[in-house]
Amino acid sequence: MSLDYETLKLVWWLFIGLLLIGFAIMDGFDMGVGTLLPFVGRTDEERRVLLNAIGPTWEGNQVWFVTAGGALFAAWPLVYATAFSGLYFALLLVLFALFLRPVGFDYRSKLPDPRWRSAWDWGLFIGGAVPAVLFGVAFGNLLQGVPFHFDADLRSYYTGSFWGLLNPFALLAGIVSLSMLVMHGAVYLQMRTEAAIAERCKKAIAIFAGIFLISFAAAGLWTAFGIDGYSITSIGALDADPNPLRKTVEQSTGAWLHNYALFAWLWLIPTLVFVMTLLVVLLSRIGRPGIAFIGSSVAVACVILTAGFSMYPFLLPSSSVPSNSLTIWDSSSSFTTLKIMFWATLFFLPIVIAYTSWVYRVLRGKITVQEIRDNQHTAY
Amino acid sequence: MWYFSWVLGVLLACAFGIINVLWLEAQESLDQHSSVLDPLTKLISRVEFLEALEATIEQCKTNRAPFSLLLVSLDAFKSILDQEGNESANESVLAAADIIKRETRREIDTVARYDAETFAIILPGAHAPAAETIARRICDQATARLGSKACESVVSIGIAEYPKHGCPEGVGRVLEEVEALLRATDSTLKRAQRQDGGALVCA
Amino acid sequence: MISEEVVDLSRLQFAITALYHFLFVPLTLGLSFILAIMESVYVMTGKQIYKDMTRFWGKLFGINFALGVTTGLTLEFQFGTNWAYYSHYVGDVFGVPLAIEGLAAFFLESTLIGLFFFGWDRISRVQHLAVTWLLALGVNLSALMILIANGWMQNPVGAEFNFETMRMEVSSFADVVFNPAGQVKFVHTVAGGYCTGAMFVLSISAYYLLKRRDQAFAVRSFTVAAGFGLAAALSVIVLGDESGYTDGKVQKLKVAAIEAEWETEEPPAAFTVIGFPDQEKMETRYALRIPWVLGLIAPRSVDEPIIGLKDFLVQNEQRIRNGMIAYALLQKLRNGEDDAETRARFKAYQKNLGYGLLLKKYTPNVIDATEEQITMAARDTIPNVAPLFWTFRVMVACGFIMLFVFAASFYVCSTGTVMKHRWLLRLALYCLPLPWIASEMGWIVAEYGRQPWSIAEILPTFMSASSRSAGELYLSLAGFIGFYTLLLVIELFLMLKYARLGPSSLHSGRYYHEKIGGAA
Repeated sequence: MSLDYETLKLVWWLFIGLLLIGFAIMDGFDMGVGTLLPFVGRTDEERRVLLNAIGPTWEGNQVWFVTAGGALFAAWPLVYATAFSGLYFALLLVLFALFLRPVGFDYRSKLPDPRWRSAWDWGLFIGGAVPAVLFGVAFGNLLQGVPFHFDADLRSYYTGSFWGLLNPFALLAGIVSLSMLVMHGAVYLQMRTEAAIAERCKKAIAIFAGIFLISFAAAGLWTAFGIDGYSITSIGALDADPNPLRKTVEQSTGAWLHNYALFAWLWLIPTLVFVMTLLVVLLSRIGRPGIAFIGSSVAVACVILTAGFSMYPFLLPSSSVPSNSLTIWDSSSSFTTLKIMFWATLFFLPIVIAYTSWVYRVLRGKITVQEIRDNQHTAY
Repeated sequence: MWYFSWVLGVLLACAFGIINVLWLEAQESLDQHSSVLDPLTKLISRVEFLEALEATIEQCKTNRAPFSLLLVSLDAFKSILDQEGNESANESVLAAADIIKRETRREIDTVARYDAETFAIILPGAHAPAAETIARRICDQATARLGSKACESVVSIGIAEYPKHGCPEGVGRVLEEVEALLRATDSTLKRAQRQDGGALVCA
Repeated sequence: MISEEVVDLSRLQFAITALYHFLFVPLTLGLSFILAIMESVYVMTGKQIYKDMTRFWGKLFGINFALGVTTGLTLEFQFGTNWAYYSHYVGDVFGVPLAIEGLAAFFLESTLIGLFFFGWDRISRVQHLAVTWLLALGVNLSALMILIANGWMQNPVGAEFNFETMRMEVSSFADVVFNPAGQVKFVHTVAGGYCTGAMFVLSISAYYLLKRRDQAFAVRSFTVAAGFGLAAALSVIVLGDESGYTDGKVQKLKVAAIEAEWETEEPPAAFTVIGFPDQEKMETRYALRIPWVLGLIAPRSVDEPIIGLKDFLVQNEQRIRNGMIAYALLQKLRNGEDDAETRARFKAYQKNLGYGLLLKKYTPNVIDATEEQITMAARDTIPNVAPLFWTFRVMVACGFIMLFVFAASFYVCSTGTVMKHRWLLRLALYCLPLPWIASEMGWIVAEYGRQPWSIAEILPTFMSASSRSAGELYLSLAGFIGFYTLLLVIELFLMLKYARLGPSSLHSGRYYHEKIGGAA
C-alpha cells in the first residue's frame, strides 16, 4: 500500500478514531470514577481511596483528549473549526466541567475542612459526569447532522442553538456514553480496591451494564429506523485538494446502515459490544476484574467503531445544507501535513504507550484505607 | 541556531544551581570542622552557645514564639573531683551529658557545656511549665544514675522563659536580652542550689 | 460579515484566557528545572534535606501545575470555538505543532507528574531523578512546540497559499520548526520562565530567612535559586535583545512601534528612553533620547537604518493596492477561470493577498475599496504605539531589577553571608511579583504588537474570528472571567498557606512549626 493522498486521508480517519478510542478507554474510566465518587465512597477515607486509585495517572489520561483535539486541528482543520465554533456552548460546558478535575484532585485533600472536601467531591463528580454525557450528546448530534453551511470563502455559519443539541436522540446517546463510562470506571475501581468498595462496584457494574445495553440497542434501532442518514451521491476525485463545496449529498432513513449492508462482517462490532458487556458483568461477579477491564475496554472501543463505521466517510454532516457536509475526503489537511503527522504519530504514540504502561506497572496494586491513613499528608 | 543556545543555557543554569549549593555544603562542613566542640562531651562550648542563644532570641522575636532556657549544674562535681579524682568526675559529666541529650529533642534543642560543671539547654517553643517537665525528668534520671555516689543533691536546675524574663524594660536589644535572660536563669539556679537534693526552681 | 464588537470580544476573551494561562506556565517551566537540580543534589550527596526540598517545592509546583493544566485546556480548543476561520485558514500549518505538542510533550509531563508525586517509594532514587528530569524536559518541549506555533504567527515561513482550498498549506515543515522568530521566542520565553521559578524560590526562601525559620532548608533553596536565576536572568536579557531583531518585516515594524520610531532616521538611530507617544500626530512628546544607542543595539550597525513607522505606512498602502489585485485574481481562480496566465499573475501578487484582506473590515468585496478605505486600512497596519512603548519598558525594567537581585544573591551565597544582608532578603521578598509582571508585559508586547494581523501579513485578526453573536461572547467571557478568578483566588489561598507553613507541611517532624508545636 503506497502512501498516496487518498490512502492517507483514510489512515487519518483511523488515527483520529484510535485517539478517540484511546481517550474513551483511558480517560473514560477516570470520568466513570468521578461520577461514582460521591456514591461509592461513603466516608472521607473511602473517597480518598477512590481518588488515589486514579489520582496518580488520570492526568496522563486526559492528554488523550487534548491530543485528539490537537490532531483534529492538524488533520481536519475544517472539522475542528466548524464543529467547535458551532457547538460553542456545548464545548465550553465540557471545558468548564473538565476545569474542576485538575484542581479537584490536587486541592481537595490539602485542607481538612469537610465542607471544602465535599465541595470538591461534587466538583469531581461534575467533571466526570458532565463531559461523559456531553460526548455522547455530541455523537448523537453528529449522527443526525448539525445545521451549518459555508460561504464562498469557506467561512462556516452555524444556524442552530445550544438547546437544539439536546434533542431526544442525542440525550439517548448521552445516556449510552454515561452508562458505558460509569460501568468502565466501576470495573477499574473493582480492580484497584477491595472489601466494601469493591462490593459496591460490583453492584454498580451490573446496574450500569444493563442501562448501557438497553440504551445502546435503542439508539441502534433509532438510527436504523428513526433518523435520516446521509450518503454521497457524487464527489470529485478522492485525492484532490479538499473542497467541501464540490459534492452532492442526499439524506434518507437507514442510510447509516449502508456500510453494514455492504460489509456484513461489520456487524461483528456491535455484536462484540453486547458479548463483552455481558462478559464484564459475569467476570466482575466471579471476582476477575482484571480481565473484565479488558472486556469493558473492548466494549468501549466497539461502541465508537460502531458509530464511526456507520457514518463513514462522513465526519460532520450538515442538516441544513447536506452538500456542505464534511467528509474524510474533503476536509482533511494537505498531503504534506498528513504525511508529517502520520510519521509523527507513528513515532511518538508507541513511545507514549510504552512509558504509560511502565507508569501503570510501577503504580499497580490495590489501594486500601490503611494506605490512605499512613500517607494522609501526601495522598490525594 | 537558537535551540543550541537553549541547550547550553539550560545546562549552564542547572550547573550554576548545583555548583552554588555544593559550594555552600563545602563551606558549611569546613565551618563545622573548625567549630570548637567540648572535647569530652562533644557538646558545643560556651562561645557558640551564646551565639545560638542570640539567634534563638531573634528567631522567637520575629515569630512571636516563646522559648525556655535551662541551666543544669552538676552539684556533685566538686566533691567527686576532690574525693575520687579527675577520671570519676569526667565520667559523671559524661553521664549527665548523656541524660540531657536523651531527654531533649535532637536537631531542635540546643545543648551546650556552659562551664566545667554546668550545662545550658535552649528549648524553642517551650513555656516554663513544659520546660519544667523536661527538667524534672533530667533530675530524676540523674538521681537514679548518679545519686548513689556520695551525696543526695545530684543536679540543680534553673529555668527562665523568654520573653517573660528576657526583656529588661519592654523590648530591648538582643544583647541586653541575652544578658538579662542569663542573669535570670543564673539566679534561679543559685536558688535551686541553696535548696537540698536535686532541686529545680523556676523564675 | 462579523461585527467589530464580536472580534473585539473574541480578542478580549483570548487575551484574558491566555494571560491567565501565562500566570502559571512560567513558574512551571522554571520550577521544574529547580526541582531537578535539588533532586540531583539529593542523589549526589544523599542528604535528606535535599529530598525534603524537592518534595516541598514540588508541592507548590503541584498547586501551580493544576491551574496551568486547567487554563491550558481552554487554549487547545479556543482556536476552534472562537477563531474558526483562523483554524480553517492556517490549521494545516498551525495545527501540526499543537498536535505534536500533545503527542511528544504533554503526554510525557502529565504521565510522569503522577510518578513524581507518588513514586518516591516505588522506584529507585536514580529512576525518580530521571522522572524529574524528564518532567522538566516535557514541560519545556511543550513550550517549544507552542512557541513554534506562535513564532509562525509572527513570521509565517514555510507555507504557501492554496486557492483551491482557500488556506495556507505547509510547504516546508523544517522552515516552520527552524523559524528564527520561533526559535528566539522559545528561548526568550523559557528563560523568562526560569527567572520566574528562581525568583519564586528565592523570595519565599528569603521570607523564611527573614523569619529565621528552617534556616538550613531556606539557605539551600535560596542558594540553588540564586545560581539558577543568575544564569537565567543573564540569558533572558541577552536573548531578549535578540528576539526583536530576527527576520520578518512585521517584526521590524513591531520594533519601530516599541521604540516609537515615527521617522526613518540617519543611522545609527537614537534611543528613546522615555516619552509620550501620540498615535494621532505620529510623534513622541517630551522624548528623552540618547543618540546612537538604538542603532547599535537593534540592527547592530552604524549604517543600517531603522525604518520609521511613517515610511512603513507608505509601503503598506502600496501593498494594500497590490493586495486588491491579488484578491481580484483569487476571485477569478475560485470561479473556475484558472488558466495559466491568471495563475502566474496570482502567484506574483499573492504575497500581498493578506494586505488586501485588511480591506474586508471596510468592504466585503475588497476590490471596490475607496481611497479613504485604503488609507484607513493602511493606518490599521501600524500597531498602537503607546501601550507597546510602555509595556516593553516595564518588562525591561523588571528584567534588570531581577538581574541585580540574582547577582547580589549569588554574591552573598558564594561568600556565605546570606544572613548578614537582611536588606537583600527583604528586597528579594518584595521582588516576588516582578517575573509575573514581566511575563505578562512580554506577552502583550509580542501579541498586541502583532496586530492587526493574527498571522503576520497573511490573515487579519478581523477575519479570523468565528461567526458567533456578541451576546454569546459576553456570556462566555463572563463565564471565563468568573470561573478563572475563583480558581485563581483558591490557588493563591492554598499557595500562601503552604508557603507560610514552609517545609513543616511535609509532616516530617524536622521543621519549625512542628518542632514548636511539639514543644507546646
